[in-house]
Amino acid sequence: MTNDDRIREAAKHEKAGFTLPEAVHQSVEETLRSLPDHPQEEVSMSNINKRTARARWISGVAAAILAIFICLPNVNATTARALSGIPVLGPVFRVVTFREFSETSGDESVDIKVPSVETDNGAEGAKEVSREVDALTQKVLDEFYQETDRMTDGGKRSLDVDYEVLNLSDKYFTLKVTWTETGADTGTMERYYNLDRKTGKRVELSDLFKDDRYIAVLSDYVKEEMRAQMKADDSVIYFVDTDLPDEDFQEIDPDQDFFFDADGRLNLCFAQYTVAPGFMGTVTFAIPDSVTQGLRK
Amino acid sequence: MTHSKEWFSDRIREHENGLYALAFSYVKNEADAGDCLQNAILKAYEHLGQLSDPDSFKPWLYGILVNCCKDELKRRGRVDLRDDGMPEQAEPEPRISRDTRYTLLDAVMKLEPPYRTVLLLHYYEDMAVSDIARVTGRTPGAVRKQLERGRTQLKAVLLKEGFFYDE
Repeated sequence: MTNDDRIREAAKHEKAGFTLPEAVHQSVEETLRSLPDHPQEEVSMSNINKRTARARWISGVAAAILAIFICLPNVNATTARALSGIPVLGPVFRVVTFREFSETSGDESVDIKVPSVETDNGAEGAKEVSREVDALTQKVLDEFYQETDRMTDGGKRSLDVDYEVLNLSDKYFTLKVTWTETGADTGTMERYYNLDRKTGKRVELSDLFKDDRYIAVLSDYVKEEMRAQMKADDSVIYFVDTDLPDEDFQEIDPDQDFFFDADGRLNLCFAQYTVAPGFMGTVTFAIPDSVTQGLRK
Repeated sequence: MTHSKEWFSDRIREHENGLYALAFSYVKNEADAGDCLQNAILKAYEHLGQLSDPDSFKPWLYGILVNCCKDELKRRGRVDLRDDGMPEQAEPEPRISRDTRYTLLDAVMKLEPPYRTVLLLHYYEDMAVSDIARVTGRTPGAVRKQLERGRTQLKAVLLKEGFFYDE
């Protein structure tokens, strides 16, 4: 085998095993998703400021403001101008780590990354989501420290906050934020924040439907799903048809957490402990289109 | 010729690894390589109507990427200073491979820029000389010369790192 053959073999082998960094893959997918339906040769021009941000990692124990583009188009001036003339393209969302804080002290450790959603046109929906996430994180953090102060039995506790952009839907941009507390009790809270890709507005569950009928319809479907799952698997438990009917799951919140999956189906999300015992964690139910037919806007 | 968004997206996904590696070879960090890749995708889509032969999509796309990388390097062309006016300490060059072992790709990344590019395209992307010429904007003759010199440089790096090489 010649050296050239060896190099080719090594290159072929390495190429097969190469994994694209997840952040880059996500940014490619988001860029593809943001493309208009039809490529155009000529587009109108308008000015959009170029944004470039680079991650700066700060080591040590300090609160810091970092900017990381995790998965959204980082559009330079030329191409941004080109795209801005295409009416189907809405605001480009950009998620940055607005606050990052990491500290270990005694039995307590905290690792927090708080996202902020930005857009090139300052859409209010993105600001609203960012404010809410930051406020909720601060509340969780304050409660965590207060709980630590109250505890007298020692034991390690930790709080982690992280986020993920779900690039599953062409119509909605979804930010998932997870707060996880571990220690004597382990708890996870997940919240999903949805923004309309065309208008940039925050989208709540109630915004998807013509009127309130969806509440009863979705609630009934979820209960049937719970019953079916429990029947199929003894280890699954939901708060439905229990001995304490007043404690049972009655109906969804009008603005229940949701996201759209890769198949375009609506998924309803229930926080830990709300519809099932804690060991079930957060639970999600995919709603077939047939269930919401005629109810959607 | 009209190509659909779906066709374009599928082609991009086929080539994203190779495109990223090429971008990284120019800009030497993940964030900038990701930026160049995004810009190339947008530019390519904008000009997709100008692509008459779908078989030449790959060299056409890689050529757009190379130009985006060169734009990024031109845009950079400044020294970062700390507040005290001293240049920042040079940081170790990031590796493209996540492998803990030293790889051939690491060795290729150590070469001087024009050789790095042609060897990547030749060995990792199986591109013919004519296509490499199209991507880099050079003549086929110049590409052959760079391949030859690149192999010589690569040999030196591989021998130093203890890789295979028959003298």
